[in-house]
Amino acid sequence: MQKKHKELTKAAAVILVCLMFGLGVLPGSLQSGVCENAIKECLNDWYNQAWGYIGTVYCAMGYAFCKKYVDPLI
Amino acid sequence: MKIGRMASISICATMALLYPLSIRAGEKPLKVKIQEVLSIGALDNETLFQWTGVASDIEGFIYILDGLDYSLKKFDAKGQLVKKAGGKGQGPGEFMAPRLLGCSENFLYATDQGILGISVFDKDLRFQKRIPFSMPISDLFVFSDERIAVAVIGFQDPGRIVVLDAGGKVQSELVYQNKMAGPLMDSVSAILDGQGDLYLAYVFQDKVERWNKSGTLLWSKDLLGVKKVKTEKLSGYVLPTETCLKDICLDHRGHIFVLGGSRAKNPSRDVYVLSPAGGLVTTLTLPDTTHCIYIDHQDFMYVRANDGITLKKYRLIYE
Repeated sequence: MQKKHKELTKAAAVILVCLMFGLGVLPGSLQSGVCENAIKECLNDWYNQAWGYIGTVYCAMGYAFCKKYVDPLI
Repeated sequence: MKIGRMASISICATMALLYPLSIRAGEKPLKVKIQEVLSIGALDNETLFQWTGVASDIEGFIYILDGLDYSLKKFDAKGQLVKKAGGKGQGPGEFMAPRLLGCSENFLYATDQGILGISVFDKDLRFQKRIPFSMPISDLFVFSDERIAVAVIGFQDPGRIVVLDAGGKVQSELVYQNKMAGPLMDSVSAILDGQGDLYLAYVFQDKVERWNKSGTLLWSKDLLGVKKVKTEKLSGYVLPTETCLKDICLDHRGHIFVLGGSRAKNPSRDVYVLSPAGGLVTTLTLPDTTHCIYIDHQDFMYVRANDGITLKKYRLIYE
């Protein structure tokens, strides 16, 4: 039961990071490479591209946070 | 022969004199243990959902940013929820992706990845104002009600530490890399001591640095023996994919605590304790992985557990 709960918290962490990137939940997001997938989506997003350098830094910050927060969960 | 003997005696005498100095400088072997004193949030309750930032004040209150709850929460010293503020949105006092939290005598300072600037709350969690800042912030340090410092992430420009007044006016700036090391390679966690010296732990490089307030590098150390982290080309940018050092903080003895990242022996659990001179004093291993470490004014350490559902408070025991 607790293990199942733990899996849910991992999913929640990934959702959190995806939300921070301004994305929906990514397919297969509990697999390794979630942060890499998220930043690719973020950098290719037209809204973030419209923000220019700040949009790029925003995605980079989300990536750095993802590497710090989510990586140990996977 | 006589000269040689004299020289040997002189060397031994010098070493004997210097040894106590090195002990005073904090270089002597030391063990640091942790003892759990408080746990907030658990798998079977909804106290915390996915906390991101923590701070505490001199009265013992603990303040926590909860990412999945878009909120700022205040707990008493026993871990009871006293108040909650925030909500999802970009309006005054609201959050989109709360991240870092700092505390001065009278105010709390919160950053948000989705909102530029720094939101200021009083200790009763009433929103006061938003300090304007035009770039995303990767770390935050609060000196006083009137002065805060922020780390600005390095992507295409070298990373820098900016000191702001309460109105967001730039007081001073330290560019800690002369040349661009590559996107994100300058990302740091930062902390300042009482003298104004700055300590940096690089997220994607195996490097800890101490700078004085004049902007002179005092020392630079590696902790993990990592020469180069793995990189990957993502949307045209070569980005690091491994973390070296995730966070840095100080205790009141001047020891520097550095949280190891994915390249540490126990990823996101090993905490390296350094002397003020940068020597490795000891390493402690946390029971669970964490994204950050925070030490309060009484030398209690706060870390994550249960993937962000729980905050653990530990007493640091020095032996």
